[in-house]
Amino acid sequence: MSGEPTPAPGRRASIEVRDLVVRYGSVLAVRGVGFTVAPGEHLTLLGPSGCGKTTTLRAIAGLEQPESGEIRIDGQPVFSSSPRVRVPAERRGLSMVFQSYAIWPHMTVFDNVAYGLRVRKRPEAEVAERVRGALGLVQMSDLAARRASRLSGGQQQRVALARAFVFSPAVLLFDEPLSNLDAKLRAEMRLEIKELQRTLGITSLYVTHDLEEALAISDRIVVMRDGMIEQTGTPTEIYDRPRNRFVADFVGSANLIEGRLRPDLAAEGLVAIETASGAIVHGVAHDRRPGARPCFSVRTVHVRLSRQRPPAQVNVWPAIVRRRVFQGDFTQYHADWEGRTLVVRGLAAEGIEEGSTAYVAVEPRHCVLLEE
Amino acid sequence: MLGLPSRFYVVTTAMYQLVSQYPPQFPRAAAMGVSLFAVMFAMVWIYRRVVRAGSYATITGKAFRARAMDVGGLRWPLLAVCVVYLGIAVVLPVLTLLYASVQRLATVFPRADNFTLANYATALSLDAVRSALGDSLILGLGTATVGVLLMGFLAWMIYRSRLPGVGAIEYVLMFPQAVPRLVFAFGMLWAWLIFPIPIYGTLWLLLIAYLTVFLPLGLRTIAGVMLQIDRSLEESAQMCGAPWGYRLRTVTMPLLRPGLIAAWLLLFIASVRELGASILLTGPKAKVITPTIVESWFSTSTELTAALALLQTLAVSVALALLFTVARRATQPAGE
Repeated sequence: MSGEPTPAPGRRASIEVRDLVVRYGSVLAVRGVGFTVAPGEHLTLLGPSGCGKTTTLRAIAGLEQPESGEIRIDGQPVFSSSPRVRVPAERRGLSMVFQSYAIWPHMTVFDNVAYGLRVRKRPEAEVAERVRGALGLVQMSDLAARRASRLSGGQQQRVALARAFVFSPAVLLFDEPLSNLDAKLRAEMRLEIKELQRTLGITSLYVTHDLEEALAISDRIVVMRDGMIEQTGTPTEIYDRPRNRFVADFVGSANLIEGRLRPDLAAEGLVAIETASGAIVHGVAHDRRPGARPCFSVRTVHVRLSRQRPPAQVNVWPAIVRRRVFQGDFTQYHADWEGRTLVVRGLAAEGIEEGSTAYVAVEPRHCVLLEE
Repeated sequence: MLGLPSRFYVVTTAMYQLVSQYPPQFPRAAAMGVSLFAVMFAMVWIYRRVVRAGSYATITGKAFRARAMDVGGLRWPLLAVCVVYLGIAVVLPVLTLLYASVQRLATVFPRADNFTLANYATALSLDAVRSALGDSLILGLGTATVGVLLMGFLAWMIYRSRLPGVGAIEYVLMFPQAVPRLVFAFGMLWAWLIFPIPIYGTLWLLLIAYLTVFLPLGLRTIAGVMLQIDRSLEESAQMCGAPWGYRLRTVTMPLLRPGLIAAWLLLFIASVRELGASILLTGPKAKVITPTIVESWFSTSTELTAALALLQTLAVSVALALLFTVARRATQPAGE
């Protein structure tokens, strides 16, 4: 990723979305979504399929006509329901990487990448230089003359990337760009995209249903469900402090522990919940108000399992290990605890036998009170 | 023509009979026509449902390559089916025509001196035939070229633009398919006799008629190709900043090219052998070959007619061979 000239950084633009509503026939795909992407920021829309994330992205791109709301790029409205503004996609100064790559099979790699520059009527010498630079950045310099229909999936994705940033767009949009690649290549490309984002510094909006991808490449994440936003925050915020059950469950794996609040046991900034079976669990509220059914989210990696009783004062209980599933990088245990199953992920090395009694412990700061 | 002797009526021949008998039964024929519209509407409705239900894109941004299918032991039986079908449908009638055209008097077991090439000499010496053949080829070129542009644009409108009401356009465009050509030609005849533009009896009227009656054929052919092209290929051009004229020229058209060429060839062949609409719309200044052949069938000998028919077939074949060569060169991407 070095030794080639970096394309001139484009004007970094912000994206503002307000009260966006998109309707497909009788289905409301997006129901009043609003967020802001700062200039140069990398924001990801994360959610299960059908949550409206791609529709939101396409509405910003101009490929989908929203019903109401407002979209501003670099402060300028490109869509608005009142007053009525509709800027066509090709005049929004954006660029997009498609899930299907959308590489034109009747052109060479070079012509694919050069397209955006030729549309802008750049002199052919400049086109050649910038295409070379872009292909260098995605490590495709050798294949410039190859027909695009004769590339592997990963290669096509690289060409799609180069094509998207070569003309220095103000904003880069990514629509699940890695979902058609195999797992290993996906992990590799994820890093490359991140690297590219940092090199180019272009504002980017990324759509994915893949948690790891979102955590790895984003400055901030917007978690969506059913056309609405569930939570917005940095990857660590989203992971460490999920706002509700949906986010806790969708973003990583978590144990949800329900019970009734015990304000009398709360101390030192902690809150306490008593489970149905009578166990007292201490956790943190982060100034949140619990919902009707108070609930903690505990990441499976934050629960410790040990043979000896740990010295901590709170949140230590005996449990019986029922299942041990070796998963390579970690081992997943299913432990019987207070009449329910607790999922624990530990290092593969510290093996605890199935059927044995052990102690589960979790630091209160890792028990996060949910809002709903 | 084929069904009538054995009293095998399809709706269109029945309609023709109703109109041509005395007294003509226009109301009943019209009712039959309307029933055809209903069937056509139902078909288009089903088609639209099916197409909307799934994705038929085979040309996507991902690598695609045509693959030969291995049919294993079925290879020879399948080949036999093809050969038999081709034999019955194509080779047999053509051979029969050839046989008839080189005889003085068509018989099943002729003597040697019965063979002659005089029929061809006669056919080619007739001015009417020569001009009809020429007009037909010109008309074929015109119909195919204008048709592909027109129908390509319409197909793009229906399947790619999201203008309101494009669904209704598709129904209207499929209309000519439901109207028997002859009935349609009657309509055009009356319309253009009244209309103050003097194109009646010229090739222009035939061109308009052909463009109309072949609209469904061309549209279906092009739409089939268009549905195979993934929408994101056009969208990505748009996201690169290309306005639609530029997109059409650099992405949509080149991808559609094989399909457009196929549609062109189909329209060309279809118009050169068009009969139903032509027979009413030809005039002294605008003669086309197929009605001329029919006239010859009624007014001259079977043998001369066979010669004419073969000349038409030959002309079309030569034209097609030329076009195929050009088309193959056009669809063969550089460097493959």
